[in-house]
Amino acid sequence: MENRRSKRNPAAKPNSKDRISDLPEVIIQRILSSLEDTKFAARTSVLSKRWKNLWTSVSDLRFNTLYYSSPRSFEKFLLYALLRHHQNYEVRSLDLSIHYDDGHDTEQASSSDFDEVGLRDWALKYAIRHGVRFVSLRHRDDCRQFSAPLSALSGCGTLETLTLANFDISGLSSACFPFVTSLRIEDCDFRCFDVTESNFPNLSTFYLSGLGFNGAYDDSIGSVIEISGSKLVYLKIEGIDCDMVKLKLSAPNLQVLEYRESSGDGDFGWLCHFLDINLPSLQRANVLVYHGHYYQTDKLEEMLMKFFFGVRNAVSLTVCASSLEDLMEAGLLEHKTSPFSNLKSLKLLVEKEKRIGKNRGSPGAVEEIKSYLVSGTPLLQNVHVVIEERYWWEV
Amino acid sequence: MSITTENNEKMITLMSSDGEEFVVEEAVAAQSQTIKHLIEDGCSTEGSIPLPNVTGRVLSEVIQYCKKHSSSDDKEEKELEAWDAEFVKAADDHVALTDLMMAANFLDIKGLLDLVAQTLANMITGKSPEEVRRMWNIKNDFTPEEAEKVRKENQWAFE
Repeated sequence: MENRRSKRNPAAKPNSKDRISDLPEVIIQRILSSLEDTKFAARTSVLSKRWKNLWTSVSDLRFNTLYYSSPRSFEKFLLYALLRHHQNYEVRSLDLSIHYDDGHDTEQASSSDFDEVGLRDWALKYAIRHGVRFVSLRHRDDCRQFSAPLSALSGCGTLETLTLANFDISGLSSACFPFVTSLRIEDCDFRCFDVTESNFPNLSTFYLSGLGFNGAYDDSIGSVIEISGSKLVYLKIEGIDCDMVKLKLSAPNLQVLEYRESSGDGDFGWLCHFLDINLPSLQRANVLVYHGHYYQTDKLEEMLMKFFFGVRNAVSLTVCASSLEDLMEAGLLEHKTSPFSNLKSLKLLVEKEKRIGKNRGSPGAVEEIKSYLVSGTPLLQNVHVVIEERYWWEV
Repeated sequence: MSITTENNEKMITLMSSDGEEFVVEEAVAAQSQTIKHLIEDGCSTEGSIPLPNVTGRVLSEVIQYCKKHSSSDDKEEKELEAWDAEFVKAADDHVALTDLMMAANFLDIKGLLDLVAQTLANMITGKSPEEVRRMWNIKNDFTPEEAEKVRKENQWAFE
C-alpha cells in the first residue's frame, strides 16, 4: 500500500511524466470547459504546441463580463473566441452573463457603444448552429429593459435547459420550446407570461425566482401566471411579490413543490394568491413562509387554507410555525382538522429570532400548531415529526 | 460472480488492474455507464468484471463516490455538495485527481467526471502559464518567436 502511494506523490518522484499532457484530449477539453470563462481556456494556448489549439474545441462556452476590464475587451474576446472555435465540435452549453450598467465608466469605453444585444445574438446563433443543449443568459442586474431572444431560441431542436435572468420575457407564452425539460426564470418582468404545455410541452423542472416589473407600479398590475404541465415533477417558486402576482397551478404529476417567500438575493414576498391549485400526485411540499404580517387574520386564513388544501396530498411537509401563529392566536386552529391526510413526515421550523414582530414561538404554541397539522392524518401517531430551530435567514 | 444478499440486493465483483477485488451492490456499480452496459451484456454472470485501466486505490475512491451518490434522491442537496467537497479535498493533489478523472472517464460516471473536472479547473484558474506548466510538468516547446506569435494571437485572453 505504502509503495503504491509513493508512486502517486509527485514530490517523491521529481521526474514524473507530464501526466496531464498524456491525458486524452477529451479529458483536457473537459477541464478547459469547466473553467469559469472561456478566456481562461484560451490562456492555455501558450503552454506548449500541443495545447495551442486545444481550447478551440471546448464544449462549453462561457463569457462573463465580470472577468473583463472593459466592455471593449469583453467584446473583442468574445468575437475572437467564436471565430476561433472549432467548427466541427459541438457546443454543449452557452453561458453568457452581461453585467455592465450604464454608470460603468472605464477609460473611453462607455457601455453606450457596447452592442451587447448584437453580441449576445451572435453567440446564440453560433451555439444553436452547433447543437447547444444548455443555454443560460443573464443580463444586467435590476434592469429588465432587454427582451429575451425568444424567437431565436423558440423551436430549437437541441435545447434542453434554459435559464433567463433579468429579462423582459413577455413573448414567452407565444414561443415554443419543444425539448426543454428544465427552465429557470430569475428576476424577470412578470407580466404576461404562462408556462404551459403549449410553450413547454416537455418541461419537468421549473424554477421561478424573484419576479419584478418595469415602470411605475399601479394597482392595476396584478398578473395571473399559469403554470401547468403533465410532465412537470419539480417546481420551485421563491421571492415573488405576492401583491402583484396571482398563480394558477395545475400539474397532475408534480412530486415536489418548494415555495419560499424570499429568494437568495433578498426579494421578499409572502404566499402568493393561488387562484387554482391542483397537485394530485404531490409527495413533498416545503413551504417556507413566515408570519404573514401584511394581512388581516381572515385574509390570512383564506390564503393559507386555500394553499394547504391544494398541497393536501403531500406525504412529507415542511412549514414554518410562524406562518400559522396568527391563526392560532385568533383561535382559528382549535378543533379544526387540517387538510393533510397522507402525512408521513412533518418538519416544523421555529424561528430562533423573529425578523418581524415579537418573539412568540412558545413551546405551547408550537405544540398546538403541530397538533393541527397532523390532525387530518388518520394514523397520526405514525407521523414522524421533527421540530427544528433556525434563524429566519437560514431557512 | 453474482451473489445475493439478505435484502435481495444483487452484488457484483469488480477487479482492479492490480488484482484487487471489490464486492459492491449492483445498483452502486451501475452508476458507471460502462459497468452498467457490461452487466446488461451479461459479462458479470461468471467471475468478476475486470477493469484494466483502474488501480485498486483509485477504484476504492470511485466506489466510495458511487455509494454516496446511489439512491441519493432523499438526501439533501446541500449535504451531498458538502460531501463532494470533502471527497475531492481528500484526493489530495492534482495528480491523484487526474487519476480519478481518468477512471471516471473510462467508467463513464458523469457526476464524478464533472466534479473532478471542476476541481482541476479551479486549480488552474488564476495561475500564470509558468505555474500551470510546473504543476502539470508541461514542457514549453515553443521558440521565443513562436511563443510571441501565439501570445499575440490570443492577446484578448490576457487583458
